[in-house]
Amino acid sequence: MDLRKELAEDVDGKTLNYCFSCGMCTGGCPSAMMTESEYNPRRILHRAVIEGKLEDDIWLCTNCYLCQERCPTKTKVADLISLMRRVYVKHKSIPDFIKPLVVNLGACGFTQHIGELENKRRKRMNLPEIKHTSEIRKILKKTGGLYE
Amino acid sequence: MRTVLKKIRNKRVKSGSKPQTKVFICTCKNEIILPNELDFGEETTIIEDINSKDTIEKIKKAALNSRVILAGPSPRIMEKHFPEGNIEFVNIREHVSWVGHKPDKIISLISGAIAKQKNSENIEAKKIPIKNKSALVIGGGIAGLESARHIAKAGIKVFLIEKEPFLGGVVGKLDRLYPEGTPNSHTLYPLINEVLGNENIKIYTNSEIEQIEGGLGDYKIIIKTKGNIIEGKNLRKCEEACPISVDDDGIERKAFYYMPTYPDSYCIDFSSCTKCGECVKICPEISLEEKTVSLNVGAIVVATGLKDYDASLIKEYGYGKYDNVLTKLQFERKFSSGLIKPESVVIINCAGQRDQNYLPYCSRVCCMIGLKEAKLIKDVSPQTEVYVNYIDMRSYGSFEELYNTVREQYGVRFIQGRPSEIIKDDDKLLVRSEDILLGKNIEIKTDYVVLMTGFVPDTGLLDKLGIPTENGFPTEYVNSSRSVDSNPKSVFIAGAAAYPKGVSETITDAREAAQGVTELLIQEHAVFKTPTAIINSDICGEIDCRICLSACPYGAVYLKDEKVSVNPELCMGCGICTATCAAGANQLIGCEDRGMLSQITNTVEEGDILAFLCKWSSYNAADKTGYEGLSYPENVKIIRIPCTGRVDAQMILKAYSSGAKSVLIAGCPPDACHYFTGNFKARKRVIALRELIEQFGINPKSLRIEWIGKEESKRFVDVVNELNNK
Repeated sequence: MDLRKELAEDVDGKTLNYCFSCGMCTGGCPSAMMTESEYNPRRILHRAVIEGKLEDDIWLCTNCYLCQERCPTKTKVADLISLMRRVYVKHKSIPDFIKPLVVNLGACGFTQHIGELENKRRKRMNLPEIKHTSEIRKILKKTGGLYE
Repeated sequence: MRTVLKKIRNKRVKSGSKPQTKVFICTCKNEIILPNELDFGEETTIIEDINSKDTIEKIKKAALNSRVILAGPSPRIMEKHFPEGNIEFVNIREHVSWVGHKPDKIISLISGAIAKQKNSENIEAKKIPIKNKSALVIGGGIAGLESARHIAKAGIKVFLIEKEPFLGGVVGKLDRLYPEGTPNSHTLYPLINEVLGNENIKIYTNSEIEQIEGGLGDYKIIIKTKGNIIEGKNLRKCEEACPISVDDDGIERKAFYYMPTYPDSYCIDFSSCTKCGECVKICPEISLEEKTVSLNVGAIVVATGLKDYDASLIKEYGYGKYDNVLTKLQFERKFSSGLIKPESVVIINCAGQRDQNYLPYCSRVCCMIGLKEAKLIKDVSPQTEVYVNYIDMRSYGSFEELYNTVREQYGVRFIQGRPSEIIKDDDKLLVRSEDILLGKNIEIKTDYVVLMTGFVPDTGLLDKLGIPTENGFPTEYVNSSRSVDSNPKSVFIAGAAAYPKGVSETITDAREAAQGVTELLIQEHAVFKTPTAIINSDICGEIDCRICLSACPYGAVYLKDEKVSVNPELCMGCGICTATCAAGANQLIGCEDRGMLSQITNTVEEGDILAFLCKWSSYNAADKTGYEGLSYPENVKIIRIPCTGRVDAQMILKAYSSGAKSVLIAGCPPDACHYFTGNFKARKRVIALRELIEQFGINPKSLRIEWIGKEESKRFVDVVNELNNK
């Protein structure tokens, strides 16, 4: 499998070659900070460009899109990582360590349980309250995305 | 359909009553074998050596009152002998003899040229009188001063305009210049003194351009000026009384202030003055009135320099929010004046530059400025920790030495990785970035952050002068031998107004601009030999489509009293506009529709491949096949054109109707067109035309457009062979 070819099939995937490795994505990435740079979007993109390879670290992205907002070359960093996940699932399967998140998603509509703490914080930031939902479960059931 | 087209072919264009046509054929010392019969119905002379002075004189004389065709070596070589441009060259050496083609090919090539000459207007050089032998230099920075000094030295009157109250520009505000860190006084003070000592230079500070009218040799400029020197006593007391405080790139000063350049007097910074009148109370002679001055000049030097990009737009770095985040100029001024004494400094290269969200380009000099600031800090305070965050270190040429010195001897630490954000951490700043070489996220606690923000042009003037811009800087002038040339040809762009430059480059530039101005103004007339387009306003007026206005890459085609006209000073003779004119009202002299079509009919024979080759690149590639001893099929006939953009649908269809089996259009590589985009326009035209010719029963694959560079002779051979074998 050549990741480059698979990505090039998508409009956003074509932006892979925009990256000039300035490190602005990683420098401010909350996941990178939390994982002592084990998750490193710049490295993921560079690896894809040079080697065309995929590794498990792509699953550490929280999809906050900070990297994509800041990217000076307008590389769609977060979208690319989502695309890479799609390619990953196509060729392998959803990795075991992601399973609890999918279970959560099926259970409450979010990858994490939303508790009082989250909603308190949202209130402070003038954001509307969010509630658990079962709609995602229906979708997952119909699309076969839910684990047996 | 093919037969219909053939009928058109037989309707050859009849020539009108034109001067006599004379044909000269050079055998290049019997190197070129001529066909046995040479009868064109015109006076034909065979010459042996084109390089002899007598022969050249003879041909020049003939060209005075008759149309001359000169068959011999490539026009690439011949043009130097006949710069007047009114001779039609036929290349029978490189394109016939040297590629091993039969001598009979010469006949069709020469007949084509004769037909073209008969149906073309004579090319005449344009003479524009130089009415005002004086120059205007806009900008009193290092570029303007240096240009003014050199123009004035040649005895030409110079008006030097500066919008600030003092001369010196950005360099005047600096402490040091890279690479060595020489104080600016080494360069600036002697330069100002020389400018002041020259009687040919008239300086207007506190002045701005109000209006520009006219063109080469005859510009009328209206400036608004508030006067240079303030008359009166007790000016120092006025400064004390002035209530307006200004942050002048890091240094606090009053709106009534002094700078050690010129004028040697306290002056008012009118951009911050509120006209409160406090200074007038102390010194009643001070006038705040504005005057209008009218100047007549023949040429203009734009030396408007640059300014810093607004750093507050780069949200991640907190400029304007955190006091200790400074721009490069602010930091240098504060630090060298001893206003700040940091224990640690982080220098961020490419801050907001090479960034599609802010400035997309590289300002070229900031890497060196960053190194200069690092050296400045370490020179003054060796214990201060200095970090430089960079994406790529672009210390080109000898500046690598500065990079080495700063790293090896001063121990400045370099981190590859552009910081993602700066946050406040107690009284310090926290710079977050990735260290790409470690592959790790790092945080550096620091006292000060210096942003190497990019440079933007300090002018809105280029629009007034009709100079096309990109990112605010003038579009690079591709076909110039000098970096300062622009179009209009009486405007020269010196120094950082063209693109960000260091001081030494700016000085070189300023001298080039001065040389250009001097060269132009010492003449009685400016002579332009390039043929230009002309508009037949009768035909044009009927159609009035105005498409050629947008086609011109130079803005030379414009509306004058609602009529399409061509500005001969701007026209570069590419013919792109001529090709767009469906009515035939727009004609490039020497390359008119009529001339080109009759050349095509008379050159092309059944089964030929007609190659339209751009004179700047592909034609030279075809020449190269000759001197390399390569060969290509006999039936390839070459027509030299100024640009592929000149080739229009008519010409291509004419080639087919005259019997050509294939047509090749070849020009400069992408983005390298001598006239910016002629090659792309030609490509679009060819793609559209392919669909059309298919309807006529012509194989669309027989029409090709290729980029063939000057050295790509083998590619040329491959392409024509492919076309021949189809």
